[in-house]
Amino acid sequence: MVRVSRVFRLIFRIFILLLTLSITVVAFLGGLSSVMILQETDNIGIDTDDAEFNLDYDLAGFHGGNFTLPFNITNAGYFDLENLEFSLSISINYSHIDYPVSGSNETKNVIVFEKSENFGTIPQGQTGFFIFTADSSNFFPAKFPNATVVNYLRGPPVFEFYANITLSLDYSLGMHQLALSIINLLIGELP
Amino acid sequence: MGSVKNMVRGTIFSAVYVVTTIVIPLATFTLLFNLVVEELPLDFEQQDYNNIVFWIVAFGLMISGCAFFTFSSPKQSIRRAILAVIQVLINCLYLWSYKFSGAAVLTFIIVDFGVMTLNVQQMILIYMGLYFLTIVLKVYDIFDFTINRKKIRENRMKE
Repeated sequence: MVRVSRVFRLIFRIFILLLTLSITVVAFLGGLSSVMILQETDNIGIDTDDAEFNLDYDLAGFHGGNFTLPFNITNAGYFDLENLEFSLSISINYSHIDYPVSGSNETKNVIVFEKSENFGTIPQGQTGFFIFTADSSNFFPAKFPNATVVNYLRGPPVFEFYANITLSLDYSLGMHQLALSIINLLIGELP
Repeated sequence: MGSVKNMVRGTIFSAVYVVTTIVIPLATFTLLFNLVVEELPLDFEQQDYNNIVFWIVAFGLMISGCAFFTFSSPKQSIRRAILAVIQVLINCLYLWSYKFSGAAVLTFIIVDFGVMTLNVQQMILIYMGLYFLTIVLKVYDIFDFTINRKKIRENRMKE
């Protein structure tokens, strides 16, 4: 005859087994989905050639600017794709005169723009079309180099604009977090 | 005959643990390190891969060895219960090794594109929670086998 303590143990054991099994299946399908999404070329449609970057900046300083980038993601996996976040930072690369000491110039890189936007969830099997937009409020006017400290003899170009783009998302109930980054992408030059 | 049966059971479970803790994880990581994203190959530090392989094999062998002794022990014996607790604790260390070997947050360089990061820390924490529940179960076994030792022996004699 089976002891009562063993029956209680058996119920608890089955509960743990079911929990382990379901989590393992979700994790496996999540991993498989990530591979399915990443391996197909059309699933992540970020074409930086479609980006529109306008900047009104002259010797008097920053006057305004905007940035637009359309992109699409196809969720080819088994679960919803959650917490889709797009982050962009733009930096200026220029030669700073008399820095760090008088008589020497140093190339400096300052971040003049930063924005992150959450695009929510893409249901399983669907394609999400999004437009990432930013305006003057996302720029840091004070970070733009003062016209008097820029070494104009370095160029052309005197200023180079680089973008760092990060696309991050959660998958299979947050068990997998994936981030794709494009680093130091040249998006513009002045003059 | 009973001891031979126990040995065979221990060997079978040891083999099962070799497959689940060494072969499957290594195959998964090898596939991952050979992944092609957007038709661009991934680049990684060979040292990262070697680190991950070392810790998986090291802890995997410990778990498999421990599994042999656990499952070759007589059913409902205190020895088996204690070895089972030790095995779950090694399993926890095995999972934790994923974190300190760098397998929980994998960073790949996508050649001519950028960087890809895969973070599975949340998954590891969930599995740790499951192992905690298993520890509770195994500790319960130790108490149960100790308290009911006489009854267990009587049942074993009847068999």
